[in-house]
Amino acid sequence: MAKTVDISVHHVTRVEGHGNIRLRASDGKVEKVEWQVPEAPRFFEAMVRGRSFEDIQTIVSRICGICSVTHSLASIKGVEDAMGIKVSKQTDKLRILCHYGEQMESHILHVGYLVAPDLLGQKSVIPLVASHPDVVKTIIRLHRLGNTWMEIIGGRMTHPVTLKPGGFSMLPTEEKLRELKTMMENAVPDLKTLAEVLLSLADKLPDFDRETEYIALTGPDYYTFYHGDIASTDTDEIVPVQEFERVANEYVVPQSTAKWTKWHRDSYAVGALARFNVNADKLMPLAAEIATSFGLKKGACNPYLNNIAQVVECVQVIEHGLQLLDELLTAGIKPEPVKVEPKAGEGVGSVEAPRGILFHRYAFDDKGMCTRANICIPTGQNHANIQKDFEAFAPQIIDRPQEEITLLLEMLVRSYDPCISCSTHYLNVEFV
Amino acid sequence: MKPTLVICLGNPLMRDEGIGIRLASELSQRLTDHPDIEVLDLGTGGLTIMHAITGREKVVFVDCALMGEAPGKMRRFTPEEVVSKKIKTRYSAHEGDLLEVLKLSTDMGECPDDIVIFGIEPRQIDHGQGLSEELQSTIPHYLETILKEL
Repeated sequence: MAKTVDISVHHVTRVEGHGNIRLRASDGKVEKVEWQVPEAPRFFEAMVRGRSFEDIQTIVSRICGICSVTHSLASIKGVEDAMGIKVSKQTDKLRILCHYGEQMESHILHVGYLVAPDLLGQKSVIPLVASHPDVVKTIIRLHRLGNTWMEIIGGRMTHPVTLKPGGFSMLPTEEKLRELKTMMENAVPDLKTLAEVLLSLADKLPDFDRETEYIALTGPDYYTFYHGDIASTDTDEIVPVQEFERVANEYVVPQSTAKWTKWHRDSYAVGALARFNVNADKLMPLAAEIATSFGLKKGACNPYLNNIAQVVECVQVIEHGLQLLDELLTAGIKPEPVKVEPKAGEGVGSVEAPRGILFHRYAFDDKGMCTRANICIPTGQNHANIQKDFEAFAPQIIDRPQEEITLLLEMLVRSYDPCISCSTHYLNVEFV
Repeated sequence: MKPTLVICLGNPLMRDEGIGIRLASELSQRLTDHPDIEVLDLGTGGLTIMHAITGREKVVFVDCALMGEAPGKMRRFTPEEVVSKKIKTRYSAHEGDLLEVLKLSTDMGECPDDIVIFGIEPRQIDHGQGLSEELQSTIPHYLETILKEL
């Protein structure tokens, strides 16, 4: 009997922003499968032109509500690289710590609210309250920690206000950092619980391997999200971040308003699994233990494992974060007034967003006004890889029921934790 | 943590949908040094609301609401007095329904007992800045009513 499949998912649910899945097959053969991105352009690279170097962080933090610390730090590093600005060890550690808070908050939000429903057979997190109340409570506690963490150091949960070129506009107090330390220590049992729950559901993750190039920042000393240069699993070459364009090789395709990227293959992947594949040997002990418990090893190329890598990274940022906190509290927080003199230059800032490596390039004139910007975001770098995954996976599952194929392709998109964009919320009520 | 929390919700880029945020700045100024009341601008809300209300004794929400009333009309109600007619697309994790979040908080055992919502009927929910005349001219009344509640 001829097998005809016609799937059109308009606006995949439980991802950030808008993306469509199209699949057409007949006689059991895939004719067309596409990951389409119709999201409208944001124009941030144009918006920052003519703006002062002091304003860039405030503007570009609005690129994203979940990765606002990441965009802030990438832009600040870009400004500092352009103008030769150095920062203190205290600033460096506080920034990394703030960044860790965002990694945790984002990963927990993604795994807990967006992925867990698929693994537990629900359409959203709301029904999970009745069916799995303890799991939801754990997720909410961890999410809350991430929010408070960023508020303590960044001054606000979303769109930080204390981060600036050269340092901080306001430093956290030692009392607040000690509070944060206690909260982080208390989160470890919750993370272990979450890992155990995921382990019990690991067989629900589809079995799909595809050899992939993975790209992430790497540094000599620790599992990095903030410092380092560009590494790939396809080469031993380490590329300075200032040369990111020759790694990303962005190009335009008709099916997507976001560009695609490629380096050694037709596509590459960035994100937690990419970072793991590049840096796993630098994980802290408990994070490494959690990875081992899942059987997660370097060389993993099942995109669905990105969500396992995210949980491993939650443990990593707590472990390393506690170490940084101890160092900061032992040294004591010292006031460090910031004074930056602008000068002409061009620079790049690169950090790892929760969903992958991010690049910001800026050029400034001698008054510190921005003349040019280029921002290459991680999800943009993943779109081509999602397409290639579709092309490889669809034929493998084409004989399954249409509903199952749809769910598996949606889960594949979700596994990348794509951050594609936001909405209104007004009440609409009827009085009873 | 102050026992009473005023949460103002809204999106000032969607005309009258921004009434909550407009009132947030006024309320903040008038209640800056109040020992027991905190005012929060939570923008478009979502699950952040749940985190904010935990541990409080009383929470007052201020938000634009389609209630079938004349534009500019404000009504005070509690979650038990209404049912939501909002159609949820489930497209986005940012899609918020305040009543759903309050239910989630209740099911988690965290929702304060004393929840009051001030809904303000819009004339216009559309891309753009600035409130309709009916809402703009009624701001003093909204403020007076909310402050009386506190």
